[in-house]
Parts: sequence; structure tokens; C-alpha cells
Amino acid sequence: MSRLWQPKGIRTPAGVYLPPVAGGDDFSLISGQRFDTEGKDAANSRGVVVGAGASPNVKATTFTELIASTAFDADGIIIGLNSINEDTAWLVDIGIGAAGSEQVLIPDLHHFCRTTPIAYFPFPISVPAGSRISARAQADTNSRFQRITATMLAGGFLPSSPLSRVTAYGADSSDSGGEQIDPGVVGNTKGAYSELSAATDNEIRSLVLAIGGQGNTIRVTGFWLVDIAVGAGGAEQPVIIDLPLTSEFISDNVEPYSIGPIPISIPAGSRLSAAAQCNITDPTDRTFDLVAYGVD
Amino acid sequence: MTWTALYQDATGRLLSVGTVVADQLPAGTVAVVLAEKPRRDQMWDSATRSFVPRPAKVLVDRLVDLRTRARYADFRDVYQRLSAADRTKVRDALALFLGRARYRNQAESDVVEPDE
Repeated sequence: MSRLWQPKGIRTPAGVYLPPVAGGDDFSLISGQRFDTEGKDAANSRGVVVGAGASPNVKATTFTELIASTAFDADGIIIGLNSINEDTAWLVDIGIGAAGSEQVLIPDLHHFCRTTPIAYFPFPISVPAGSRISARAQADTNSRFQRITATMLAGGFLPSSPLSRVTAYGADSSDSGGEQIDPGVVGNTKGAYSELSAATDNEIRSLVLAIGGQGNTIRVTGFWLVDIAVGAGGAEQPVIIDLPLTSEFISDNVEPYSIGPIPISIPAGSRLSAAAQCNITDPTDRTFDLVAYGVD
Repeated sequence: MTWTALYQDATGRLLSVGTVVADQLPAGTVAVVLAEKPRRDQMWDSATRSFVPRPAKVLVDRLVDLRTRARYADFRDVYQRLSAADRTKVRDALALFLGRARYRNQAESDVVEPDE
């Protein structure tokens, strides 16, 4: 039986021999993997502080810089949101471009935190080297602050990505929330579909979901299964089925805060909706917010 | 933009809410045009086939639990022997100590973080 030849180890430019990793497989030297959380406050081991707009539910007028110039061509970006303030609903724009000329790269990232956890939002979009990355935010209460990180990814797990655009569906700027999903009064039975978009602006080739707790600060433990559907009212076809969510009475958060990216193909102009079932029927604890981000 | 609710005629169960409705609805489905998009503080009532106010959350004060539940009988005995002024001091201190844990959901345990 023939075996594929594998190197037994590598020799560094300095002539030092590095044996293979235990288990027999070597790290590939040609994948070009690079990861760097370039948007960070290393002096304090946290993200960059970004303040919400001066008024509740109004975006800040200026972007706060996270990265002056990205070091390499990225195939993906992971945004980390960590609210300094508890019991706060957020919508965050990630911008790209020079100061004063920012374009929104990722719109309306939704995050409600009962406590102050970190929510990660990965997007498989290309970001050229040398890009300036920034953020601006709104919160449902004024004088609120986020610590935001931006992790750039290249190669390896995420090969060169042709995707570059993110469109938000279901964000509600009036309360810095998302589209309310109500599983209804019958437990463990899918409730009604709630419309996220009457007609998607762009093709969707990957989907990221944000889950929010609606400012409900005293929740009982609950479990959900969530569907994402395409099609007109009365003719919805679920395309993503039974994504699990949970809430826990101690933290009072609905988790996970984000799901995805989920590879999927949805044409532009499609009606997008969501429905859920829940094991509890309490009229306030059974509901949650959802925002969908189409990537193309 | 016209919002429409679709429900099952036989049961009144809500099926879909939105602005785009299929040309041909499944048999037994009724469409009702809404005056506006349903608000967060509304929920569907299958009996009336309409959106009604969502009931407000009912919370229980754990300070009341301490004074009324059988497992805290010893505390109640001591508390009742206090003067009115001392009861106020104890209540205020407990309220500060409990913080956001003071109020619980009706379905939640009176114990702040019960052992599993």
C-alpha cells in the first residue's frame, strides 16, 4: 500500500530542526493563515471604547477608529461587542474608510446584554490590506459605552472570499433592537412567521443572525428552536430549521448572541421571515429579538 | 405599507404577519389587514382573532418571600419581634444587598441561586 509522503519536520532558516508535532501531522506552511485582533486596547486587555450617540436610539455622529490600517488582505472579520453597561440594547455600524469618509461595512449589529458578556459576529467578507476600520453605535439609553474588537482573518479556514457586502434585515433603530419573534401561546409548537424583509435588497450567500433579549431583565429558563424562511406570507418555506436558543434565569440573557455565518443562497427580492417554538409560554419571556445579516 | 395577519380559520392560530402575502393562500387561511404593524406590547389572541395588549410581567418581591414563606419561618419570627424602625432598617439593608435579585419571575425559585 502506498502512503502519501509527509515531511518529518522542518528546519528553520537559522538551521534549527523542529520535529513534527506529536500525532504525526505537520502544520501546513502554505496555508497563509493569519489572525490578528488589530482593533484592541492592549494596554487594558480589552476592546476599543466606543460611545453610543448622545441621544437614546440615535447613532453617534462620528465613527471611532478601531484600526488605522489593516496589516494584510483579510478574508473574514470577527467583530467582538462587549458592553460596559448592563441592561442595554445596541445597534453598531462597522465602518471602512478614511476619517470623515467612512462607508458602512457592516450595518446595525444588534446586541442586548443583561450582563456584560462578549458577543462575537464573524463575517466572511474580504477586507483589503491598508483599510481603516471604525465603529459608531446607538444604544437605548444615553451615556452607554461598548468595548469593540475587530479580528482580521486570512487564508487557511477561510480561503479567499469573494463576499464583500453585509445587509441587515430586521434591525429596529427606534429601540436599538430587532424584529420581535413570538412563538405564541402553544408551547413547543412553531409560532407565526414574523417578516424580517418584504424583499431582500441583495442576494444572500451567507447569513449571520443576531439574537437579542429585548430589555427583559428578569427571565425564566427557556429553550427555543428557530426557523428562517423564504416566501410570501402563507407560503413560507423554511430554509434554516430549528436553530437552538436558550435563556437562563441567573444571567437573563437569550443566547447565543450570534449564529453563523451560515452558507446559504437566497435571491435578491426574497421575503425573509423567522418563526420559533419555545418550551415556555410566558407572554414576555417567550419572545426575543432577531436581526439577520445577509452577506454577498 | 399594508400589514396583514394570516390565521387559521378553524382555530384562530396566527400563521404569519407581514406586508407580502401569497396570491393563493392555503385552504382555511384567513387574511386580515391590520391598521399598523403589531407593536411589541401586543400579542395575538386566537379567540378574538386580533392583536390584544400583551400582559405586563408580574414580578415577586423576594423581601415578601422572606416574610411569608414557610422555609423562612425563623427569620419571620425574629423580624416580627423588631420595632417598626428596626424592620425598616432590615428591609432597606436587604434590598440593597439583594440588588437586582430582589425581584424574581413568578416561575422562578425564591432562592436567589438554588443548587441544581
